[in-house]
Order: sequence, then C-alpha cells, then structure tokens
Amino acid sequence: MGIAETIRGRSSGIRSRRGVDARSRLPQADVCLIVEGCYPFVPGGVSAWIDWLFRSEPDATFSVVTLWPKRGPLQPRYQLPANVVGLDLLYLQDFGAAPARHRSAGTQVQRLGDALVDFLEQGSIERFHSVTEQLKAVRSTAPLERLFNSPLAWEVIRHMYERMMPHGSFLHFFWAWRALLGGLFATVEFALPRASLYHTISTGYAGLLAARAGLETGRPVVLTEHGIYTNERRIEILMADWVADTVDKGHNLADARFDIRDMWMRAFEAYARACYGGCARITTLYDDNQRAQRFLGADPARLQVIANGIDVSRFAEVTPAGQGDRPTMALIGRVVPIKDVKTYITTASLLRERVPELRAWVLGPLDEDPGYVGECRALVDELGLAGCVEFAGAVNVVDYLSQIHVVVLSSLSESQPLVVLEAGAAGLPFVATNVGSCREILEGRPDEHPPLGAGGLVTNVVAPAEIADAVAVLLADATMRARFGQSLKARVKRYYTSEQAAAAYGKLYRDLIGNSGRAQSPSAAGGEA
Amino acid sequence: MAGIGFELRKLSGHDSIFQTLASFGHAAVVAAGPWLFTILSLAAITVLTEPIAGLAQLATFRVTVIYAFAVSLVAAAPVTIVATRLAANALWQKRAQDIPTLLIGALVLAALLAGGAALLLALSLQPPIQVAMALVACSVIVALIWVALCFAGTIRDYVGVTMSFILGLLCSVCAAIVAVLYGQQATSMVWGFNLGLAITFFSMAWRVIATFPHAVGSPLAAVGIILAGIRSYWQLAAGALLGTAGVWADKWIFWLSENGETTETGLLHAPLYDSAMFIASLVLIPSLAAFVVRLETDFFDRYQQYYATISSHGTLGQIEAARSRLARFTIENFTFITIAQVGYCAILVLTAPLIVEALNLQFRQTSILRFGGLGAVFHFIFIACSSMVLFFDRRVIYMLLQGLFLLANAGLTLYSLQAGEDYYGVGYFLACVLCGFVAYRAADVTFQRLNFLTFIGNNPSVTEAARRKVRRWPGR
Repeated sequence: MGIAETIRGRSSGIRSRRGVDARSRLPQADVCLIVEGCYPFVPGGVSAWIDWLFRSEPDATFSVVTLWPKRGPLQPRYQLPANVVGLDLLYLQDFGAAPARHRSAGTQVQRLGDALVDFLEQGSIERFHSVTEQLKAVRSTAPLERLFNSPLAWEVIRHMYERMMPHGSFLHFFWAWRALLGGLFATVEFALPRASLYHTISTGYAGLLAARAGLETGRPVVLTEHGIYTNERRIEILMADWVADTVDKGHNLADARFDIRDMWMRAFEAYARACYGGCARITTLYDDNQRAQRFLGADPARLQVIANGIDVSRFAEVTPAGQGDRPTMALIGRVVPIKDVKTYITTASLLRERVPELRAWVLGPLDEDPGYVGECRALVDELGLAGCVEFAGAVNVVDYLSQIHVVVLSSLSESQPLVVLEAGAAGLPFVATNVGSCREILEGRPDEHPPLGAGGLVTNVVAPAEIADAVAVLLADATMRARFGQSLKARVKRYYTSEQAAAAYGKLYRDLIGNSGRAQSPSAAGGEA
Repeated sequence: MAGIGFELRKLSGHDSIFQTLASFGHAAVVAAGPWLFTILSLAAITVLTEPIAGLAQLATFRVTVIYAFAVSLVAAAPVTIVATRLAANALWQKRAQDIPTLLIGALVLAALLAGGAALLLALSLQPPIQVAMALVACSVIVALIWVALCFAGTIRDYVGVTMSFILGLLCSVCAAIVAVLYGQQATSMVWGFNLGLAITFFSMAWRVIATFPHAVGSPLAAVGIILAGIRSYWQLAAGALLGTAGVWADKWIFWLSENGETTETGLLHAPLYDSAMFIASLVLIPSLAAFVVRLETDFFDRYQQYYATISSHGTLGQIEAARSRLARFTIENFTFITIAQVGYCAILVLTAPLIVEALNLQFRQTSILRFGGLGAVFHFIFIACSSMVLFFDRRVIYMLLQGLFLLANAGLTLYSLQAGEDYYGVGYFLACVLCGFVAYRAADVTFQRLNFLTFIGNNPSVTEAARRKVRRWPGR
C-alpha cells in the first residue's frame, strides 16, 4: 500500500478529531516541525532535508504542521517515518466562514486595527503578542473565521487603510489585507499540536505559527532558514506584475507614501521579525545568511550555523579523470533559468577555442522547464557546439564523476548547494559563481583552523569569460586540480558530513528540551504553559 | 528553499466583486408589466365588445383570460427570473452565444409548468372542454410571453417590447371582436385573444433571436441548464414564486369567499373586488414607466460609476463618494416619482365616484377603488425597492420581501373580509403599506452598507470560500 492510501486510510477515522480537546488525546511529539509549502507534497529541496532530519533523529518523535494555500488534490511524495506521530494541514487561503452577526464597539475596532498596523509596519514578537491578545478578545464573541467576513473585519480594514495608505488603491489594499491577514488569522486560530519544542523551517506564516506556539506554550522555538524567506518574497513581490503601483511618486525618492508593494514586503518582514524574536535559536546553512537575519532584528547571540551534510562514503570510490582523458567539465543540476545554463553554454563556446577537444556535460533533469531546455538546445546549435555540449538528463552522477576534470556551477542563486559538497567528496575541483555559501565551501570560513586551502575558484554571476578562464586554468594544470580536489575533500569531511549535521541538530534539541522537556523560550511573553 | 507554496499571483485574480454588475434589477419591474397589460387589454375588449357579446359571455371570457394570466404568471415566474439572471450573467461574461439556448430552455420549461398548472386547474374546476382547452392554450402562450419579455428586457429592447405589445393588443382586440361577431362564444373570444398574444410572443422572440443569431443546443439540454440555474439561484426562484403569488393572493381569497361568483362555465371570480382593484392598479403604470426610464439611464450610469471607481483603483474616499452619489440620486428620484404617484392616487381617490359611474361599476365599489389606489402608492414603493435589492444581488432579502408580501396580502385580506364590506381592499392597502416600508428599509440599508456588501457581505469569492479545513493524520 502506498503512502497516499496509507494516509487516506488514517484520515478516515480521525476527521472529527479537531480542536484542542481532540489533540490532548494524541501523543505529544518531542518536536513539532512547521513547514510551509513543501513536505511531504513537494519532492527534493527542503522536503528532502526534512526527510533526512526525521531519519537522522530516530530516537526523537516528530509531528508536522504543513502550511498549504488551499484545499485540492495532494499527493504525498514521502513515506512518513515511524517516528513521525502526526501530520496536520493548515490552509492559509481558505480562511473565512459565514459572517458572524457581530457588531463591534468602535474602540474594539480601533484597538485591533492599531495593533495590526503597528505589527505590520514594525513587526516584533511583542507586537505580534499584542495582535494575538486583541484577536483573543474579539474571538470571545465569535470564531475568528466568522468574524473575518463580518462588519467588524470591514471596519478594521477601513481603519487600517486610513492609517496605512489612504492615498492608494483600496481594491488592492482590500485583497492584500485578505491574503496577508487571512493567513495570519488562520495561524492564530489553528489548534496547536502538543510538543516539547517547535521547529520552523522558514519565517513567513510558518514562523508566525511557531512564534505563537512559543508565546502560548512557553516551549522553546527553533528556526532553520535554508534560504532567507524574506529576501525570496521581496524578489517575488518586486518582480510581480500583478501588484499595481497605485501611488505615483514620480522621481521623488523622499516620498514615503506607502504602496501595495511596500505593504506586502513590510508584512513579510514583520512576520520574520516576530519569528526571530520568538526563537531561542536561529540556525542557517552558512554565515552570509546571518547578515540578513541580523538586519531584521535577529539576536546575534541566538544565531548559529549548521551546515547541511552529505554521505561522503557514496563518493569514496571515485577517482578523478586523468590528464590523458578527454578534457571534460560538467554542470550538475536541473536545467532551469536559476542555474543559468545559458552562461554555461557560452562558457563552453569560449573555452572550446582554447581547448578544442572540450566536452561539456549538463547532468540533470530536463523536464521542469521544457521551454528553457529548448532555448538552451537552440543556443548550442547556434554556437555550433553539437558534440561538445551534451544534455545527459537525470542520471546517477556517481557514474560520471570519474570522467570529469572540473565541476562548474553557474547559478544565479543558491543557498548551500549539495553538488559542491558531492564533487568535493569525490575529490573534484570546482568552479562556482559567488552565490549562497559557495565561497565559504570552496575557500573555507575565516575561522577555519588549520586552513585547508582553496577547493576551487569563485567567479561572478553571468560572467562566461571569467568562468572559462577559471576552467581553462584548471584543465591545464593537473597539479592544481589535484590540490584543489584534496582540499575540498578534506573540508567536506571536516565540516559537511551528514553525521555532523545530525549531531548538531541532536544537540540543539537536547539543549533546548533538556531533561524535563519543558525548557522556557527566552521571549515567551505570556500564555498558558 | 523553504518555500511559500502558495502562489501570490493567484491572490490578485479576484474580479468577482463586479459580478453584480450583471444586474437585472429591471426584472422586478418588467414582471409587473404583463400584469398591467392584462388589465389594459381586458379593459379595452370589455369596453369595445360589451354591446355585442353580452355580460355573461364577457364574464366567461374575462375570467378565462384572468385565470390564464394568473396561472402562467405564478407558474412561470421561477423560470423567467432565473433565466433572466442566467442571460444577464452570459452577457456580462460576453457569452452571447448562450442566449438562444437559455431562451429555448426557459420557453420549454415555462410552457410545461404553465400548461401543467392550467391543466390541473381545469381538472379541478371541470369547465367545458372548449373552455379548458382555451384556458390551457392561453396559459402556455402567456408563459411564453413572460419569458420572451424578460429576455427582451435583458437586452434593453424596450421599444421592441412596447411595439410587440401594442401590435399584440390591437390584434387581440380585433380578433376578439371578430370572434364575437362570428362566433359569439366566450371560447371563440379567448382564441381570438390568444392569436393576438401569439403575435406579441413571436414578435418579441423574433427580436431576441435576431439579436443573437447563434446555434441552439438540444431543448432537453437547454432545460437542464435552466433547472441547474434554479438550483443555484433558488432564492430568486422562490422569491419570484412568492412575489407573483402575492400579487394575486387577495384576488384568490375574494374568489373563494362569499363574494365569489361562478361563471356559466364554472370558473370562480369576484367581480365586485376584481374590477375595482384592476382599475386601481392602472395608476401604477406611469410611475413604473418613469422608474424604468430612470433605472436605465441615470441610475445605471451612477451604478456603473460606482463599480468603475473601485475597479480603476480609487481610494476608499472616492469609492465612498461614488456610493453616496448613487444613494442620494436614487433616493431623490425615487422620492420624486413617489410624489407623482401620490398625485395620481389623489386624482383616483377624488374622482372615484366619477370613474365608478363612467365604467358602469357599482357604487359600493368606490371604497375598494380608493383603497386600491392608495395601496398602489405603496405597491410602487415595494416594487421599486425590491428592484433595488435585486440590483445589488441581495437574493435572500428579495425572497424574504416577496414572502412577506404574500403573507401580508393574504393575511390582511382575510382579516378585511371578516371586518365587512366597508373594509374590502383595506387588506391589500395595509399589506402594501407594510411591505413598502419594509422594502424601503431593506433598500436603504443596502445603500448604506453598499461598500461592505460589495467587498465582503455579497462578494461571491468571499462568501463562498470554504471553511479552513484541518485534517489530521495520526502516526502509527
């Protein structure tokens, strides 16, 4: 029986078990993992990491809360391990039920509206706490879901609009309000599963739910950010053509009037600030991410880097290609725009002028963005690179590594790419763009002692000539390749093994949960334990 | 990356706020039109043929036609109002090709319902077979007219509607007169009248079909679409049924009371009450006409301006100003028309004895005529405010208003019957007063809360949103 059937079978008996009373009968997990839009329905990436975490901590029990936009057919892509005792779905955009016939006092509207405006504009765990307290007060009259569609909500929207952007499009404000605060209300209304510790894998709504868990239960909260969620949202919102710019500021940079884009971005920043403020520990994959976390108010004393690790034994048998083999570089990854495969192809074109025998492999799935794959193939034809650039599709990378001289990563954005670690475990030198933690992995952190030396070369993004120069140097110098390969291998073994990552999370959990399992969140501002 | 799995883009895809623009508030007014047409044509035929046909024949003819109109208006009302709504939706969604299919579906269903109801009525009253056949035929044709009329209203073809009715009316009157001259039987007159009605129907249906020259699906599938629409808009269907029944409730009660008389052919009627009330109802015509004209021009402009202010990203201040303009304008015009209506009513009340004398009515009908005229003032308010409520798609309120009118008209008419002859017509008058005020309040509240209703209370994408669901999957 597959996972889907298993889950359906399980769900049939428990649909009515909603709310706190029902939850109290369910087993309490050691860790409640809160994730947004991934596990167990989206394969790869963070979901794969979560699956790894469950299997790396077999003695701990987990429950999972998955935040998802709205109802629809969902196909789980992972078998829940035995130590996962529960899985909840929280729908963010399905919020709102038949309106309550609630007519509120003006002061109530003003208090709630002011609390929400203060929170959205400045964001902090204290302001979030104030919002939850105000919501608790209005919830005493009717469920939030019914109030969300009531005249009370309308009055709150009006009040907030007048305070935040009385000059802007009300239509956009209204939908932004519904979307942003519907999600917020949904996280406030959600019946929390019981756990000794709450671990969120991003800020955003998952971070808000975790912050609320900390406030209400006094249990410790941990955040692990792979990429910086707020940055990702900011890019998405800045590039969004569906967000209308409704305030004409002309060329006046000093015009501080709020527009819809500002509202969206500020809201996600506010959510992040609340999450950072509510967390006992904030971990990320590499140092550079901490700058953004500190910028949004994360307490430096709570920051910690826990790098992802890999199983190095898989690559122990790989012998790097020799000088007599056909000169080969490889890009290992999905053929999608963010990997900037076109720059890689242009690099191959430049490099072939110096290395006529060059082979440039692209090892990775071709099915995610067929349009982009078509453009890449057209570029190969246009540059006359047939026979040089080869798209191998999804393959077992280990089978190819011993024929590769240099591995290349031309990505526009990464966090901590596993492909660098895997190439390093195989003793291959690397050329990577300066994104995510590539420089940290290839050149070592400043506090590395003793220094292990460079494991590859770092270039700018969208710089084919620069990448071609770096690869040419490595192809021409077997000694340098060997030295880089060994350095990288040593660094991966020292810092980036699966065992080390698992041990770090195990220690983190033990430190925070302690023996009693009732450790206190440093910023627990109230609520029942 | 840890991902926000939800697509921000989709959040902007809300245009359902403007669904109510696919409005059909005129349906409430249009529905009153045929009822007035009935009275006009009957009055014309009565006056013109009385010297030849004789009172008994005329009574049978008149009662048969009144039965057909009552049956078809009530039985077909749910179909016509829902079909009108579906047609307005189709036009709003720029799916003009759906209109002929909707028309055919509505025609078939309305004809079946009206024909069936008339047949049941005939079976229970058991008039002569010729009368029963004429009654069923007349009911079916009238039901077809209601449907065609509503579709013509949807495309704002008021000139076409008027011309079709005038043509039909002339033909009806002529054919009825010819039937009287040659056949001298009530049923012949009804068939002559049916001929005129059929001409009205074909004229209107032709204009609608000529406007939308698209292919039509199978009639069965078309009926299925209308039935599905009735399920979706059941409040409209129920409201229309209750509302049309409400219009006839006082007459039916009088027919069944001690004032009821039986024609030669066994059909019940109450000439004492009916003729006075029908004449009183005529004073509604100028007000309803003025109201429709205002609806179609100035009101609709401001109505569209209000939604345009929202969709063109106006500020809340601008939206509020547009709402305020719409509300003020509507109230002002409404007041103006109502004052005029009061004037018509005053004339009717003051000249009631003269009218009674001129039309050969009985003296004791004077007070019924006066109460009918007074009631018509508030009846206009009720119809106009119901129309406003429909314009803003407050379907449940519309249904409740119509239900209230039925209950009030039936209940108060029963009460006035018991109170004695001096109070005949008071029931209708009080029901109109009560329902007029309630409907006015409903329309006023709708205008006051229009912003809330537009964005939240009546916004389909908000109101139909599913509840947040949490499923729990316990582990092993």
